Amino acid sequence: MTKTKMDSPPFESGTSLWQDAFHRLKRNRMAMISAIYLLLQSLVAIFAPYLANFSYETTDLLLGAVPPNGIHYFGTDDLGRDMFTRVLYGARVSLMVGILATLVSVCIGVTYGAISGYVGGRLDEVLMRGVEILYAMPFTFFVIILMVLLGRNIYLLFIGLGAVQWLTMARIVRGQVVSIKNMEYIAAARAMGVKNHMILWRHVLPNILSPVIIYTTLTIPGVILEEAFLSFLGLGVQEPMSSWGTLIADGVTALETYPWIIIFPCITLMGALVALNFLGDGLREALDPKGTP
Amino acid sequence: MTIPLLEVQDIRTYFYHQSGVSKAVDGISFSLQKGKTLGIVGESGSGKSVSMLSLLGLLPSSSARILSGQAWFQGVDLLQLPKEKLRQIRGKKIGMIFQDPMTSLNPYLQISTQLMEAITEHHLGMSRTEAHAKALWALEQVGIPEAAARIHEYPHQFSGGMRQRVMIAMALMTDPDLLIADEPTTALDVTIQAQILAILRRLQEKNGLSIILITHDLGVVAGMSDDVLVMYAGRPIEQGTVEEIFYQPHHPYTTGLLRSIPSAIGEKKSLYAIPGLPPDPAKLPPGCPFAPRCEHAMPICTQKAPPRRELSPSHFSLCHLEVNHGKG
Repeated sequence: MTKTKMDSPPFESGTSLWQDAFHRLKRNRMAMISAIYLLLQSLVAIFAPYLANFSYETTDLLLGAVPPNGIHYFGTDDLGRDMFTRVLYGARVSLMVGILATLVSVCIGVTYGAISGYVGGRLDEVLMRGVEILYAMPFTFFVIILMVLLGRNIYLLFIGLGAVQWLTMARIVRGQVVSIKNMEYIAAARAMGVKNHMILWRHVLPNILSPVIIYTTLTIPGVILEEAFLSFLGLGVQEPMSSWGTLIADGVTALETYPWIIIFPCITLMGALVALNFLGDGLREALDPKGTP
Repeated sequence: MTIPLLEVQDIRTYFYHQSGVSKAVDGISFSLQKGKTLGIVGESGSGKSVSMLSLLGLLPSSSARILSGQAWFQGVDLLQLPKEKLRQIRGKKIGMIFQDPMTSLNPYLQISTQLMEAITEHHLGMSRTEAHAKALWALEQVGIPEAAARIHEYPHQFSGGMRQRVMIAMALMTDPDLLIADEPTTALDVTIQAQILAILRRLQEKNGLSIILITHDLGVVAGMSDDVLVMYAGRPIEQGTVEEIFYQPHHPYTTGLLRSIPSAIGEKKSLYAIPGLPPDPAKLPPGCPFAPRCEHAMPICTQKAPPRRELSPSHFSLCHLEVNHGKG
């Protein structure tokens, strides 16, 4: 009958599980540093036109490649383009690809997995066998073919990369939905006459959100890397636009003579990837405290 | 007699597996008047819950089939209704509460959302404010203190007994005519059990609610029910008013159940237990399903299905034994 508020953990009245998770996340220093780093990185990317002193497409052949100095913070490449500017603009493309392609993959993966898991039965069999078949296909080639056939369009890149990444998400979501749908509160909701799509939306999805969020933060670096890889092959973003991947590809050719061309894009790429992974880990610990030892 | 609120006739629900057919519910019939309580008693797996899920159309569609039966509720046969029509009755006219209050509430939603869900789903033409007021009313009905503050809390902030109260409150939101309580007190402490049962009884007197109480606890049945249906292996083996079942039980299984209630008074003796286990519903023996465990078993019991013996207009038993043999 009585509320035992004293010996319960610091739950305010009406603390949702999300608020608890946020408290735990705030206590994780590495995750918070990573989050702040990523926020700054995103702001820098968004406001790149205001922060850069030079245009990313202006070449200065007379200048050529100069090492980092007071005017060109990151030096210039062999065409005399300011590397600081190019890295700033590269962040825009890389982060945008990372986020948008991941969003595409989350949308497809969650919808597919949720329907498969919730409907179950034969449809589930068919959908999941489909995922397995797609798993067996060499997807990098698929994206390469897509790029070659349909032209090097940056939006196509989002869709192409997203369409490759959703398979694991679909599997994760499907597994979660199957376990959630046998919970008693789903039976209770059905006994209350709640419509199927509302059960899925209101009762099932919130309960599978934490694995989805965790996997999403871990997908973004994967997608950024994939884009870097495609750009490295010359299939990603085209000159004079740059992404971290194209910058690294440029730098490789001049690795011995002008090392600063490759070093700075590498450092920023690594910084973003490391921060995303730390944040993903922190989120996993915050949202699923039981799963961590 | 007035028209019963719910009139169930001969429901048969079988489960089809690769290994065979399980006759989970094999021909149960009962009728329930407005404001009355029917207790359905039986061991685990005797088909109590499945028969209720059959009524509500909540069986797993892949393996379960309802082979026959009628369930007349307010002029419609629940078993013949299209899915969508049945959904509209579920939760609106018929509320259901489940056995385990610890898992029957969604951990991610506030109590208020879950309480108001039935109202929003059934489009009862209430505004959010009205629905909220109704939710507060429902919480007060089930005796939750400080309802106005607690309504915005999450399930993990409630104890087991409190959650079961919330479950009952959820079922009350739409003013149902019938409440199906599937072992509502099994997962609770004895003291909390008594409180929950008291709440149910009070609601019944106040709102004229009819209750189907599924339980394996004869003590709960004695305190709550007007009529009792004893199920064994999917069949109704004895049915009667609560007095008839408790004072003049006929079927040896009912007698056995009554004898296995522990008594707190009198001299201590070892507790009676019915020997053996309930049969596998996929491999029912011919004849009476209880025969292998029955202390009065006769040769005919294993060969021929027992006849229906009318002991009074409201009391019958499925047994080969002559009447006035089984004394509790």
